[in-house]
Amino acid sequence: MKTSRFYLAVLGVLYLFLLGPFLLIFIASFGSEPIMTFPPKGFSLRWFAKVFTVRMFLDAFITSLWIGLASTLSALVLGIPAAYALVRYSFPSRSLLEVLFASPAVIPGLVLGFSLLRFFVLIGNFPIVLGLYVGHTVILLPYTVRVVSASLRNLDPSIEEAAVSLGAPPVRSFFLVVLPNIRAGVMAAFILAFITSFNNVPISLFLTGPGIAALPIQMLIYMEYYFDPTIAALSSLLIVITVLIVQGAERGLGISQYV
Amino acid sequence: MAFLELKQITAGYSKHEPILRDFSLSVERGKLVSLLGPSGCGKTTTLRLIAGFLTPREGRIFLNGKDITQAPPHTRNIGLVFQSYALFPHLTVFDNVAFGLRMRKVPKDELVERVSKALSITDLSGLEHRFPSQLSGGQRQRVALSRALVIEPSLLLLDEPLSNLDAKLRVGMRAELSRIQKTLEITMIYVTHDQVEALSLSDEVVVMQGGRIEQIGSPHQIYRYPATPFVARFLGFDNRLQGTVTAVNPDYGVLSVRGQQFTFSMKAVPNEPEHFSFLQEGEDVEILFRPEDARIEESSGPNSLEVRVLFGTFLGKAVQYLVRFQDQEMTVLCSEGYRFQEGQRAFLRLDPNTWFLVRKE
Repeated sequence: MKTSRFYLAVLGVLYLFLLGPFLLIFIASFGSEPIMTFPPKGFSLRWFAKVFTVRMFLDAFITSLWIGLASTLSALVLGIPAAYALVRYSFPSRSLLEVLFASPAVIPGLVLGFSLLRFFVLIGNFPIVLGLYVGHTVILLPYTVRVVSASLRNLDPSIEEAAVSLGAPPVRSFFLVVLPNIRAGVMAAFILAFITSFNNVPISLFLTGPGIAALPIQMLIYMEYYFDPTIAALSSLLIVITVLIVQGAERGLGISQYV
Repeated sequence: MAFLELKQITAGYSKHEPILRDFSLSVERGKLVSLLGPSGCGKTTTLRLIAGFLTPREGRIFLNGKDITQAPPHTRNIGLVFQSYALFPHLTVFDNVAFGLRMRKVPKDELVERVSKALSITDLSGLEHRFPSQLSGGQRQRVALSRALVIEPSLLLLDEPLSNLDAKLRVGMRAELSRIQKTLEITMIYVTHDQVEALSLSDEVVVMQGGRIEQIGSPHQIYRYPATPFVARFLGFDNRLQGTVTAVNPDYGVLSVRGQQFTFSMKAVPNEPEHFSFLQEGEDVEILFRPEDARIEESSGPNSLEVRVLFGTFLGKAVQYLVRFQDQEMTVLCSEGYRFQEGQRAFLRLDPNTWFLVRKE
């Protein structure tokens, strides 16, 4: 009894640490004062309304959305075959490749962002949007490879052999029997990767350029100049959207078994 | 040339020692041949070679006179039934069975007809719209079988198809497999480690160990007259006794087990007059025999040894006794219930004509 109470207390403190800041921001975003305060004075929804009128947020939102979608799709197109090769075949450099695919998740984002920036500068005149897209694809790969690998490992390899023995050439049998059965894993990878891209700061920070910024970077910039709770309202919106997406995915696909 | 020929195959997985070395096997059309052996004996490797999932390093494979050694697996028209059934989880029973026909671009009417026929052969009619997850183990097994049969394969390979079923279902499926094989006259290769399955289903049994064939023969031959000590032990010659050859002549031999004499016919193995020719006077041999080939009795008689009963285990239709003869322990089955007490003196009556003799190294 005593120990269980102790663990519950630890758990409670942990949750407070995790959720406390969110809660603070969430409550603060409903304040009516033009400067963020806690506890907030009065109640108003006008900061939420303002989010939708700030041009730079809308532009950045669209940029982040497109970058997120494009890099997630690319990371899946590259990551699914990579995961397949890593799970199904054994070859001499497999463990090296596994490490390589994991490296963007291990190497600090700032280092990666900086080296990508140097690389693009070296190439010279590399379009900013393209740089963001390539950078995000790189950091998303480990997520798609890992999540898709997990769901491939759960799939009986003999169903592919069954398809082949029934006359389906190997590539065809991949599309006919493997892909449909790792659908949930691919969806999970998609959601996880998209959210990762959408929230990413370190890579975007380096690769953002004049006129084009990812949403989190735009929020940083905004905060340097303004102190009103608009930023809190936007954060609250993002948190709610993220929670809804993840919750929906968990209900529908049970993504936690892959992530 | 036989219907299926494996000629001097050497095969294995990348970089590792080959699993099969100089392996040859022929299978006649319309026969059910089983590959029997413990895990790691190379039986599944043999199956994967025939299916085309593994290419031999050396040797050739012929099917129906055609060299298929390098043919990609999807062109071989060989049906496969997996231990795990390997049904497509996202497809219904109908679509699972129709898969092979769709790959062959069979027209719709014919496809529907052939699928329904395949489903009725395996008694699955009415389950067309179920998904594999909604079926019992036995039903899944039958879907796997239908799916492989519907393409009218030139050869059907089965990899331990019954080992995931419970005992009662297994017996039923065994009979069903045998019936289907006989009605469709399809050539089947059946991989198993279960001797009862191999013996009850096969026209021919191939006993394998360590990547080599130990013996090929009819179920009766294999069961009654194992060719090697390995086959004998694998097929239930669980007991061993040490003895010495005291006399041999063309008709009979005499063995002494600690002074007790046993006489056996030198011609006990039909068609193999040379079977016991290795025996020489004065040689030590090991006698292998099955628990069911001995009897435990209260009184002494010919060919019997005085033993002490150590333990009795009730098995249902018989009691299995563990007995000791001097320093050697043996098991024997007694179908007349519990007749002996632990520690009791009894007599083990042996039948020398059911023995397998091995020269002592």
